[in-house]
Amino acid sequence: MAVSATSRVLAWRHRLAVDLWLARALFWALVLWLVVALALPLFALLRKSFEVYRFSFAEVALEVQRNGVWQPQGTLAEWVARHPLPEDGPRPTERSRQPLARLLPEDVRTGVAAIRLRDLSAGGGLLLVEGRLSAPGEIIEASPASIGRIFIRPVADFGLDNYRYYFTTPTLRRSLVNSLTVATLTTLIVVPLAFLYAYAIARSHMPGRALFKLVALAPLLVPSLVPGIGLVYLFGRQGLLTPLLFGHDIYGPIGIVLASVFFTFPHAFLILLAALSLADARLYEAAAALGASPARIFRTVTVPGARYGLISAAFVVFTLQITDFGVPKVIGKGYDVLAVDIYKQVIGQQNFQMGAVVSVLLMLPAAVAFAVDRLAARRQKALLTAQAVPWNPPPRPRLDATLFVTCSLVALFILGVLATCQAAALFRLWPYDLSPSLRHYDFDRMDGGGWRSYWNSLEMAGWTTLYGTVLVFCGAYAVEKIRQVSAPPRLFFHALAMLPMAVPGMVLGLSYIFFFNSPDNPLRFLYGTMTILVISTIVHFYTVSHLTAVTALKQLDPDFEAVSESLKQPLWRVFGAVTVPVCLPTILDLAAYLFVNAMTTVSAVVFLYSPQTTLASVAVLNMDDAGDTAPAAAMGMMIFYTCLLARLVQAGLGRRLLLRTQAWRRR
Amino acid sequence: MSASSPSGPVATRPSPSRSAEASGRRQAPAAPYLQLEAITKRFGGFAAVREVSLAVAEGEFVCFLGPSGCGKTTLLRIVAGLERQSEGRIVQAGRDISTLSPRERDFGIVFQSYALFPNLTVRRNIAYGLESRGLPRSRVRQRVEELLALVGLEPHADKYPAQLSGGQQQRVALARALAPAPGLLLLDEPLSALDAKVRLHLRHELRDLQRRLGVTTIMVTHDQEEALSLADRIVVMNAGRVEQIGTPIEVYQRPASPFVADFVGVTNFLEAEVVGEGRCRCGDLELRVETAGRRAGEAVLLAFRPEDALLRDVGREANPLEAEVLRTDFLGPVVRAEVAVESLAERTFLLDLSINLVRDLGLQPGMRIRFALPAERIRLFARDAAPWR
Ligand SMILES: Nc1ncnc2c1ncn2[C@@H]1O[C@H](COP(=O)(O)OP(=O)(O)O)[C@@H](O)[C@H]1O
Ligand SMILES: [Mg+2]
Repeated sequence: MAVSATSRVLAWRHRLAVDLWLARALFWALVLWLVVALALPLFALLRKSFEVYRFSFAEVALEVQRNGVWQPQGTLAEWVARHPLPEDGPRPTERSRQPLARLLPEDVRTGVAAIRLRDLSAGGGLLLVEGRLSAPGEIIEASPASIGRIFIRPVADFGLDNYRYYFTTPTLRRSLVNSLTVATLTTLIVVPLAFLYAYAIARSHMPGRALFKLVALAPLLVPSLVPGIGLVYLFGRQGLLTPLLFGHDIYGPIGIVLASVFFTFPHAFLILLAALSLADARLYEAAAALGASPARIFRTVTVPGARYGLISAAFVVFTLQITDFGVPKVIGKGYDVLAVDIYKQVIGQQNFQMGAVVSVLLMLPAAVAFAVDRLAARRQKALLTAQAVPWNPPPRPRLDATLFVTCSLVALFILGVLATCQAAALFRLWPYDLSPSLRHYDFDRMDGGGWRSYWNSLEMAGWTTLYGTVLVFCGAYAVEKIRQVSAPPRLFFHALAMLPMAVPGMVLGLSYIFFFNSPDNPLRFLYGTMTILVISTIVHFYTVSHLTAVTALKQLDPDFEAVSESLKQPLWRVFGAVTVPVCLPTILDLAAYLFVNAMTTVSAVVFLYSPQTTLASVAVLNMDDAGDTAPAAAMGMMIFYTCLLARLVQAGLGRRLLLRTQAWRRR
Repeated sequence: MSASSPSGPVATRPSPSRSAEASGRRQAPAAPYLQLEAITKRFGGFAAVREVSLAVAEGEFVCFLGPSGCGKTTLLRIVAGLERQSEGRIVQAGRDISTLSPRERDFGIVFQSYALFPNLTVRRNIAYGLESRGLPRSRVRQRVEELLALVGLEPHADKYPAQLSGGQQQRVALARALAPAPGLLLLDEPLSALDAKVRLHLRHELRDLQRRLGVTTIMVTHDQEEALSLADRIVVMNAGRVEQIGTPIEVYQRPASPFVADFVGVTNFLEAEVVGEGRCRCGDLELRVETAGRRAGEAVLLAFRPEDALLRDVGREANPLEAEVLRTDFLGPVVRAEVAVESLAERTFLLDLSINLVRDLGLQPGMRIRFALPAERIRLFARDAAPWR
């Protein structure tokens, strides 16, 4: 006992210099920010999904006046027991109202001269009379003629009813099945295709590999709405390629899967490219020395070597597809999926509880995918031993040719979709009237906020890049390098930083509504501002950014800070003189990643924009929704070129910075 | 701040150790420069350092020696203030620094990895600790030049660390640590990242430099040769505890425990029982040893070095033994033979034999030899001590 007391006193007496106090304060500010911007909204969402409403008839007393005499009728519950309600009444929700007239239909109302209702509840508000809520104990009197103006409001409670309702409603359940179907199909198509593509680039002598790689990444630069639009032009009612569908409709599962293949492809490709780049030559040489045939080597060495990449890619694609909202919104038409259900429940029916239930369901695959991905990442690292020798495959002309054809088809598909969108935007009426025209760029005449949306998007992406990069990098630095913050809070922060990966954008957006739009939240002033869009976007893409930064920081010697401290320098000095300069390429990469994603994201912000803060990606959605497909395509391509420019700037700036600040990397 | 200041010339720290050295100084002088008092460090429930007390004289070169994981680095980091001790006190130059942050202490440190700032040139690495202290630029530049000269890196001053060899990097790290003229130099396995030849060379350089500057130095190493050749005194550590503190000769010739005997140099062990004054029994064999007050019946461990066996004039020595040569390893100046002793149930020992002797005897595997173990060369340890390996 005395022992631990001494050590506690020692710990307490441990003096810190001012900069270390600041570093600690910064760390806790970062924790606070993630709690407010992530943990609390998610909690609000979870709570909302359990929020149930019921009509509390037992807390309203009824009296009727017949022949000048007031006759007590007990509570409304007792009344309903005697005079059963007709079926198909409104389901109790936050916004539903039970008209009193349904409880007192004409036939039982005969001879009634007046009625009196009394709100018996402690909190009041059970009755709604001409837009006014009843006070506790208030008596409301009405004539039979004015009964139509009185409504009964449901009261809130907590329970599992929303979930029960979800699983017993066939239309909602069908969305679940639909979602699983298209997500599985997409995964089954994308993963093998991306594997071949990545294999061709990492392990073959196919010509044009660098170019193919760039093309494969192009879908990252557009919102997922764009492939939907492109496919509609290519395969729609009068599309160029419609005959290829043999009478099937592009609207529905086929379109969803095709468009999903487009936008998930680069994600799977990048994962598999990383996995395949780690070939250990010794294994191939050993297999060849043992006389294994190329097919056998592929089966026994290549595929197993990339198996964690394959698993990870499959889960990532599945999650991206099932949580995506843009594609099914544009091309799904009657084929409902979970992500669209959330949108419909919330925006269409204002049923927030059901939106929350679907959100919680949508988080499950994402959470599983995330866990698997982290596990796979750890295994993959273990697979790569320090002695692995890079493998340089020999040219195999037949295989290289086959791969070239496959990759060309994929590249053609990607470029075709983008080119079609660009064509639709530039011609008067693609593909009928091919006179060039800029009228589709006259966004100000369409729904969706006009050019202002585009400038808003740029502004939003700019702030996201600036603040996001600083926050992410400082957060990662605090987790990795600040010795003076003890381990448990650091792990807590790290866990928080991992969370956004498991939270689909729609879910995040919805949880922001619940949290920031709640009347008793002091941060409510943020609702509907540019700030909340920036915050949600930073949080939405936090995990990948955080992991990128952590990986870069882990490569720095853990003793830099200690050396600096032993040389009596404040913490910010080593941060500014060493850490930031050394990590500059990563920081630039982070910034570009955040910028591109801020430009293209739809799912989180679709719930959060206001008429003053419409965004380009949301404008694509809204214009397409309003039937202005060509302008939607035009805006989509604006986003594409902007993101392309951002990536080019990153590459150019990166090279210049590398020359200037990274001279030390050259030997 | 301490008395040391970067403006002091490089090589003028007085070195009281010089004279004491020759006489194999055992005790630190009355007022030690650095004093550790019962330092304990726990990580959760695990004690990485236990009750370590130590006094280091000014100008002394002390090595922490022990196997990997025994807590050397942890102890060094506690001295630096980079790790906080769970219990115990540290006094440096008369000042209690137990609770001071690294920045308030007076030391320079070289890490195992060197932790050189990769994006700064050699010059800027060395200048790092001199900047933002209110020193005039010219003074900083002058001091950097002094250090570049000191470690012989003038031609490489504008290179980046990645463009230097391992040995050069090590010297940059040393120069950076020494730049603010710290009163205490801490080195964590500074030579372990280098290949054998460079290591040997730098070992001597390091020793010369330390003597020239007279800076009190603590070096961590797991390499016993390094410790023996460099240190004024060695602190042998095992499982967080100090096993022995002494000069290299003491540690080698009079190891305080079986662990030290085994870890420093090579030692043959033999379980035995004291049977009387100056006599031990091992199986059927009785050996003459110095029992020094141990009671009969006590279980002991006998230890002798491979070089302590005598092969000439065996008949006139105590403890003659007969053995068969199993294997010989040519080690350069000596041949190390593994022999099995019949009268000890084929127990095997290692014996170091000079090349001359091997040539004279025509020694080769399969041969039978006779050797003697002089009683005064056999060390005795109590056997109740916990097993050390
Ligand atoms: N920060 C830490 N947390 C937990 N255990 C540690 C920490 N640092 C060191 N240890 C443990 O303390 C023991 C001593 O470590 P160290 O001082 O690095 O050994 P050495 O330098 O002698 O090889 C080891 O078992 C190590 O695992
Ligand atoms: Mg160590």
